[in-house]
Amino acid sequence: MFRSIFTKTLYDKRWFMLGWGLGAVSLLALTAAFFPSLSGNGMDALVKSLPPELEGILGDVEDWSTYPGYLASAVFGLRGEMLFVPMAILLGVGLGMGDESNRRLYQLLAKPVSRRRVVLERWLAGLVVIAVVTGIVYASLVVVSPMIGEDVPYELLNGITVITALFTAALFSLTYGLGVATGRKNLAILVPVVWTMGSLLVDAFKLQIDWLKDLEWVSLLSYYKTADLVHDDINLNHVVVLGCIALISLIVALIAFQNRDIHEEA
Amino acid sequence: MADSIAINVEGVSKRFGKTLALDQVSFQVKPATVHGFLGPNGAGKTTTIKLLMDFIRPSKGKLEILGKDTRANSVVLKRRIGYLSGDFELYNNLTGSQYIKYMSHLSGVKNQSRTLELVEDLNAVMDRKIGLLSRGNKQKIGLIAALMNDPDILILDEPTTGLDPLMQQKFYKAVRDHAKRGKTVFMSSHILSEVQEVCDHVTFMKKGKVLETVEVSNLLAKATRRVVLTVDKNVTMMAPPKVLGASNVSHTKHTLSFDVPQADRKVMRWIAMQPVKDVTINEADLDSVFMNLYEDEEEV
Ligand SMILES: Nc1ncnc2c1ncn2[C@@H]1O[C@H](COP(=O)(O)OP(=O)(O)OP(=O)(O)O)[C@@H](O)[C@H]1O
Ligand SMILES: [Mg+2]
Repeated sequence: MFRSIFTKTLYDKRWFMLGWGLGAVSLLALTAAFFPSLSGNGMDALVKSLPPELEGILGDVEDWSTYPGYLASAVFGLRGEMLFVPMAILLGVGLGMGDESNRRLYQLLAKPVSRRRVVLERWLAGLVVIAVVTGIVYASLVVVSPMIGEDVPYELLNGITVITALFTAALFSLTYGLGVATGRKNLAILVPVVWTMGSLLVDAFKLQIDWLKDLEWVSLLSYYKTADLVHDDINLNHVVVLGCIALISLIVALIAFQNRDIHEEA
Repeated sequence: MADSIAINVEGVSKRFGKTLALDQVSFQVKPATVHGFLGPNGAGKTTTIKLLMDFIRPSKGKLEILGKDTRANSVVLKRRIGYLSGDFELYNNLTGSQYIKYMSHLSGVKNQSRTLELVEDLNAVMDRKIGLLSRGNKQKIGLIAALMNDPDILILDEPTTGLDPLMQQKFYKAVRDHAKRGKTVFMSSHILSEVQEVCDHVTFMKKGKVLETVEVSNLLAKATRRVVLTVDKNVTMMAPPKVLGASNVSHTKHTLSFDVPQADRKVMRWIAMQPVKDVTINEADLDSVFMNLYEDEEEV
């Protein structure tokens, strides 16, 4: 466990993984388990009661009457965002800034490890944390679906899991990259929070306000549309955009961290 | 040949926004010596040490350790450097032995015998979470981490902060032993007795500038002695004459005290002619040198 920065970071994050894994399971798998009691009349009533703004966020509510549609829209959809956005930001700040703001980075950099190695190993550990949490969610849905008498929609579930992990990784990398590159915790939190909040607004009002439609590409959340996966394959453009956000963040972090002072009060 | 200078700092300036923390700092540290780095708060000691450790980068100037640029050879050099700061933080969620295991892996230290020796010597608590340890016990863990690769250069920033006197003595001994084995120690401090006790050389800093670098033994030779004469009551004492070079003269009812550069025959002869009951001459002390150095500067 203490052989490398990578494994040590995973050790540090063991409770984080467990906590978010269980949290995600209780939110998502439980929501899935409610499907039978909602399908039919309950669902119709629910769908009718939703304000139109939510349709922009939740996708086509007609889909909710089937189990795969319900999974993609009700189980993930807004709930997925509410869960994985904070997780990504917290993970990014924790891994990117934790040691520096606690003044523990000095002891680490006093050892023969390059700054590049520190940035890279921590980033990789962050990706593993995300993979573990999304993996736990995947496994829980595989278990829960048969329990409520539904087939596991494997193809859909694979797609949702991949895009969820990728979206979380992109937002994590952005937060992490900003923190590592600048050494400023506030900035590292503010940028992703403002971006996702702004994205949520764009998504909510794009059906009502025409010019917002043209701005949709700016919305980070528009690259994380699990509801679309009921009818379509994973959108490769989305994969590329999210992947680029992650990689560019990492590269900027690697270069900038190499050249900056370690801060005292981050 | 490169190793004839252990640490070379040349014309180094460091600016933090508007503050000029270091202004053209230059000094050298000879190998196999203990070199003190002394100065009041805010003098720039920590900044210099962070620069040597490549935690921060100079605005100007050159820093070399063992003949190598500290920035270009950061990783290579750190195999040969040990570092400890008095106000360091460790991973509170790890136990001492977990932390030391982690540091050994990062340092590439294969042979654990030195580490075990240190644990024994310092009587370190290894099986409790670091977060639960007292400052001094944390410090021991930090010192083990700094010494475990048997570093050629040991860089310490006010390392005895928070240690009790007994631990301080153990610490000084560890530092001196390290130097005796041909290793170099560079330590900042603002405790004079500490520098006096362990250092061969000392560099004085003030407000981001080097005042001077001197040998501690020379410094002590230059230090003043404090003479205290005790007399019977009702006896009036004359002040010591100018020729003795006395300074800081003070009277109480029964005593007369003053500083002299040296307690030589002139001084003794004058004392012998006084109606004294008792005489004490205190040995040279860096404190007075230090005070003089910084007071002089203040007047400039
Ligand atoms: N990151 C920083 N940002 C701004 N100013 C700084 C920073 N680090 C140090 N300084 C300033 O540089 C000067 C030198 O500080 P430094 O910490 O090197 O002093 P020091 O000699 O170690 O003092 P002390 O004995 O209190 O530890 C101080 O004026 C300090 O305020
Ligand atoms: Mg300091």
